[in-house]
Amino acid sequence: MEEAIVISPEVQALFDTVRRQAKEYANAFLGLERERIETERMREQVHDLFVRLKKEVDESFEAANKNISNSMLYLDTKTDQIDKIYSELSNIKDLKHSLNELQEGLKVEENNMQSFISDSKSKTALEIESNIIKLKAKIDKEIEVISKRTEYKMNLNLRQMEGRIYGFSQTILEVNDKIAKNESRRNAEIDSIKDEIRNIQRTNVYSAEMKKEKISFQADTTATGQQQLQINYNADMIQQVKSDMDKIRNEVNQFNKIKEEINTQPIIEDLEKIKEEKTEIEEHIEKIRKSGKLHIILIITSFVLYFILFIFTLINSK
Amino acid sequence: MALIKKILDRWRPVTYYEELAETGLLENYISEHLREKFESDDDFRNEILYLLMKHSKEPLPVVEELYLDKLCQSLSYFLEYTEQWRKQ
Repeated sequence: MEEAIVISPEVQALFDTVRRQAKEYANAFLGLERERIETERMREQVHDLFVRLKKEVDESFEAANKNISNSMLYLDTKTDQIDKIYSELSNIKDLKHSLNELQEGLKVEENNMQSFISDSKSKTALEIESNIIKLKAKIDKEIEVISKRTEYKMNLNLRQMEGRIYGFSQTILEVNDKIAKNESRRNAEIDSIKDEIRNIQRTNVYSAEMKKEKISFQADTTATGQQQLQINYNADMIQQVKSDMDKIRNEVNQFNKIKEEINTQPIIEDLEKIKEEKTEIEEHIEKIRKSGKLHIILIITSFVLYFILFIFTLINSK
Repeated sequence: MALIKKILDRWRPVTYYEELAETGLLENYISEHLREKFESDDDFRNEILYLLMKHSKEPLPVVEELYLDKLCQSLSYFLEYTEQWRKQ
């Protein structure tokens, strides 16, 4: 720039100073510009690095998110499994608790059952004894009543028999009287016939003999008739006595039968009932013992399962 | 272009304002007759100032004032421009 005359030297000196300072500023600004360019380049590098890093970080974040989501999914599944296992564990605990309670209840029930069995045994023994005593008394009473009744009947029958025998003896006596009368009359007739025969013999021996035979035949027939009558009468009597004896024997047999039935049958039935009740009680006790064994086996298996689950949970937590 | 302009400047006729500037009367003439135009018309003022700087034989306070004003404006612009850096 050429020197201007229109400007005073002071102002020119000022301008020179300003110019020099401006040059220095320009140099400084050039350095600054270089620094700026360098900085810009570095900024771009940093920006590229930032972009690359951001991309890597994004990829890493994406991968990490993917891994985290997978891990969360895995963790959720494992948590669900652990929750399930814990719920099963709590169920097992509840089952164990309930099994313990059942065991205690079974013990109590067993004790109650034993006491009930002992009480029932004593009660049944007492009841059996009292029933036997009652049955004995009843049977004795029944036997006494029936024996009295049969005694009365037998006495009555004996009285009837005595009356009948007395009647039979009276009739026999009457029949004997009649027979004696008939015999005396026959004898008288025979005597009269003998007299006639003697008279006839005097007239006709042949005819007399014939008559004699006839008469003897008549006499024989009468004697045999009498004997036959007596035999028939005695046979009737024997038959009646036999029938009466048969009746009495039948009654005695019936009485014996009734006595046997009264004596044995209810007692046998009661004893059979008592035996059946005893067998039922023994079967019930055996069932309770078997169920107690089954509960003990269930408790042992539940403990084994609980131990296996505990080991499994320890292995998963590790 | 600059060469053509230089050749044209050498061979063109001298203007009235150039003659006044060479004689040292242009400043008085402008201040007396064309002051309003000099203050309002920028092209005219630049032309006059150029002629004064080119042809005047002694220092002129108007030009000095103008240059100092320009310098002040430049420095204020510079200060304003570098204010952010100075604050840092």
